[in-house]
Amino acid sequence: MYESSAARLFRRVSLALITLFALFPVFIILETTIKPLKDVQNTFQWIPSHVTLSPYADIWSTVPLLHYFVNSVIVSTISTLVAVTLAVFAGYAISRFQFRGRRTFSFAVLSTQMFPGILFLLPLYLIYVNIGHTIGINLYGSYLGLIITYLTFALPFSVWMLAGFFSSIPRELEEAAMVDGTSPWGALFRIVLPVARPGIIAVAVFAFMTAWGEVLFASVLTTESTRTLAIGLQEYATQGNTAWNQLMAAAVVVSLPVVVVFLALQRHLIRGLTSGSVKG
Amino acid sequence: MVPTQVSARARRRRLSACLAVALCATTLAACGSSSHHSASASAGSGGSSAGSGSLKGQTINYWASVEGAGPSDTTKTLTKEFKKFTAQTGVKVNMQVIPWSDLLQKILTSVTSGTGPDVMEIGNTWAPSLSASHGFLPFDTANMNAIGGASKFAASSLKVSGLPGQAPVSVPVYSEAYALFYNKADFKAAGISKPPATWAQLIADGKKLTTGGRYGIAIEGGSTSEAAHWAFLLGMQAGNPLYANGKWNFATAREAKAISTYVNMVGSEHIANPSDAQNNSNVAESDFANNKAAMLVWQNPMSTLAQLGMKPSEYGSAPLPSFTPGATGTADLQTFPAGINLAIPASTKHKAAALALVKFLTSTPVQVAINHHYGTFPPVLAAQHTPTFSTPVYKTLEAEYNNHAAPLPQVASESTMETDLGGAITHLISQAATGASLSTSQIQSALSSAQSQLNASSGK
Amino acid sequence: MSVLKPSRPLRAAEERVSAAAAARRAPWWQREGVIPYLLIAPAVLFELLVHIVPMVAGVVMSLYGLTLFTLHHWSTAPFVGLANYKLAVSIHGPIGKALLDSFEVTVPYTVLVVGLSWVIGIVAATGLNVEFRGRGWLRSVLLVPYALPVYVAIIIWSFMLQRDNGVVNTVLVHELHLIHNPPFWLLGSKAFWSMVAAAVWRWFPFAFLILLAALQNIPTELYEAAAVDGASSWRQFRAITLPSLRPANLVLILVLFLWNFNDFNTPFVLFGNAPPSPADLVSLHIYVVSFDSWNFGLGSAMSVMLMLFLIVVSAVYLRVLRRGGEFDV
Repeated sequence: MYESSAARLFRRVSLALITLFALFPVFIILETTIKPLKDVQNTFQWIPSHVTLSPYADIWSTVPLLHYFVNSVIVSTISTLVAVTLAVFAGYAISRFQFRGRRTFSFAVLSTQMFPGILFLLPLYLIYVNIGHTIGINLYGSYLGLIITYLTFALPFSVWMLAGFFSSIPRELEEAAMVDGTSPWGALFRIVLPVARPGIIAVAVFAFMTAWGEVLFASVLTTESTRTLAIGLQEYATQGNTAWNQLMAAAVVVSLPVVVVFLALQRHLIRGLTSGSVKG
Repeated sequence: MVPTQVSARARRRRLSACLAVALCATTLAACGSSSHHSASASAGSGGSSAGSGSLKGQTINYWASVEGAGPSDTTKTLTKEFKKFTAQTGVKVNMQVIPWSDLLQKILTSVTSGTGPDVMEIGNTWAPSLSASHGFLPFDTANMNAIGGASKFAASSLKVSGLPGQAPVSVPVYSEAYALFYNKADFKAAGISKPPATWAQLIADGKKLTTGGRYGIAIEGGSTSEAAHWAFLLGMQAGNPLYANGKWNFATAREAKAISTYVNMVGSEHIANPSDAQNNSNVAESDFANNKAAMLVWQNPMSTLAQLGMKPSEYGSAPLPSFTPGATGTADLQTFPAGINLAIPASTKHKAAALALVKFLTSTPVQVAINHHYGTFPPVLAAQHTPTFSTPVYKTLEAEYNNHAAPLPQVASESTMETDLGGAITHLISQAATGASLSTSQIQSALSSAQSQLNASSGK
Repeated sequence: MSVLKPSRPLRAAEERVSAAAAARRAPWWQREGVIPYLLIAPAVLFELLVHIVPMVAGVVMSLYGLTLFTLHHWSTAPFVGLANYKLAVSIHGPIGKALLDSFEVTVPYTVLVVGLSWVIGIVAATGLNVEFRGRGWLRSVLLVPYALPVYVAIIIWSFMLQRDNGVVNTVLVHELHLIHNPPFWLLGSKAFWSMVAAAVWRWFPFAFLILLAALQNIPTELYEAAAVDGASSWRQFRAITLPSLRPANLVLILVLFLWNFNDFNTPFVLFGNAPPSPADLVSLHIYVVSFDSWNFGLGSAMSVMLMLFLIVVSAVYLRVLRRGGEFDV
């Protein structure tokens, strides 16, 4: 790229500062995990009084961490897959078609973001319970209820974002394909989606993290067998004591797979330079 | 030619998309139904229960709060006891441990929707609010006798089991009481021969003990519930009950003066670390254990102190100080009966089995086993008199609990009071900690706005 | 596609015929009029079930005296009309005044968090849009704050900002000797800034993620052409990057605003149920004043008012900023 040396300096310095900002608390977290509890409760020291890996061993027994981890993975993955699929469809509709009710749908979808969760928690719970009693599909205390809830939470932003991404892809691409006889559905799957891949990945990350970290609805909709990590992590704080070093160790352990997946996925966040399908 | 080829391809793609969606749906349904099956199995509706006398074969659900060293510890302890219960009665118990952060939420949704466990543990300060909701089974004479009768409990413990004048909606199971704990070595080094009996003495001792980076006392200055509890205890000792004659009554000069004792510990008296104003996660306990403070006023900290490495021989216990030496009656109030109660939701379909479990958990051997493990003490008198609970620390706590205890105001808006009044006091503490000196009238005006907020939101 | 190349008029006629034939033979699910509704149908279904119907129920709840006493038999709770709203709106009463104060804290908080997160996000995204070694790693590293569980991401700030034991004061006071007396970061007016710092740390990776993806849609030829014309990097940024990001920014800033205005987790994890008044965000405030004591009627009324405020702000925002652009809502 052609950038002046001033621009290059700015880029390097700013990236360094931002990275420092991002990583410093992470470093503190990592450091806390190898300290004995006494260290953590006293004045901060850079070097632990003695390095111990026991928090990493203890976390599995203090709290049923593996069980919660599995629950979270199942719920988050499925809700992400479904949410992204539905958001692709709906975003495409908003972007490409002028249909009656388009504005209403968009704004209704947006307005759901303005409502505090605590307020519709109780009505939602009652609805789920009633569905369970009448139709027999158990949405309370099951994976299904949580998945449905989380995918819906992720939908509004995902739909809006994908609509925006699709809009910035020129229609000529699909029109060229449809002239060749491809159906609108084929145009969507074969032409538009590959070009929109970065947007889809970004939205998938968002949907996953929404489900992964949600606390309020999980606290009410789960039983001990379906409990997710977000709730489970709070169990390191008992009435008497908070095991900080274990809490941080558990956080590291559960975040590590997520970060590894990010590392694998970030290639898809950028579009290949060879695609050449965008008009220059 | 071209059109048919394309539409065939398109049709195939549509088909595969449909299959994918169908697969997803089936998976979702399978997930839902498999956990539905396990949920309904544990929802305990073995349906049966029609037979009035026979409990055998039923399964009931139990919600436990996190006690002891954590949820795994809670599960282990209770599972052991529940096995004995199943052996005795043939009733299986399905337990869930609920973290404190979620418990009130879950109780709320359970009450509203009429679904929930058959027996649950609750913080006993919630009992009046829960009683007002009419969502729980009252322990009237019949039910109380079914679990062994009211007289087996310490009288003060039953006072916090519901609304006054009505049958209690819960019974105590693990009990706690406030007491003063002090570091024996620090006291010796400062030349203090016995623990303070009045607040004035405590402050004087605290000043002597605040030396070399260590403070006289550690308080949980950021906790609204602690602040509300202090307000109650100090207020009662000073002759100013928080609630009197049908209304909240803490915006008085007398209460302001009483609460200034607590607030000024980080303020003008300087016997507590100003940083204590931030404390809201049991930091005071660990500060005491690490000898960053020489005194602690806390409910049953013994098992936590042991986990933190403080040996029982290192600390002593004493009843809560009072304002005047030799005080009696409410001026000598030392604690309110604190602890965990058991409640049975009104929506239960297994009333007899639930009552049997409550009876089991309040029977002497089980009381001794569980309370000993948790570091709490039993509200059941027969269990208190066993050797396990006759150590000096336990004797102090039990004496306070049985004889010098009065319940927090037994009104439905009690928990709102803890938030509003407690919040006002923690705010005062943070002001004192950042250096402001607070006069009694300033304290009183803070209490006053808390009281008007409380009255407004509870509809008075 | 045909291999032979017939004359132009013939080709055009062939195309018209085949297109018409294709349209005539299209099954109902491929017709232009029906497709959009099919596409949005599943989303509509879930939104109705999980968001819309409960929200409407929540609004209805605000008209009833739904408290502790009536919750168990909620169908028999008394209808109180606008009483809950009156309580929340009367700014001379204790509840109304406190709610207004809370609003006045939440607005600057939201503006600061959204602004700072966006700025850091865009700087990082444009910085990482250039090839250099290790940028793949850096892309993942910058996402880590977002990857952490919410509770931990916020509690670590509480940890670092403790007056006595926290690293921030250890560095400032004992190592760098910049300040003499260790200040309180979690009490008083500094609590506001601590909250902003924690929120920005959590949110900038998200802005970074979205902006990075959006930057991919800008053809590099535009930058190359501009550079050839002698435009500076800043000029390129202003003339090419920002306008092209307009659709993405439109959504990003709006949702960041809504999510942070409604943010419950950050103040709750930092301060519990007694936030210092300079840091009393409206979502936690409503919770403490009403839901914490099971007064659902009052809490719903306050939430509805909050929602109305946000609807007005969003409507104004969209109207003002919607001029032109490819993305039309």
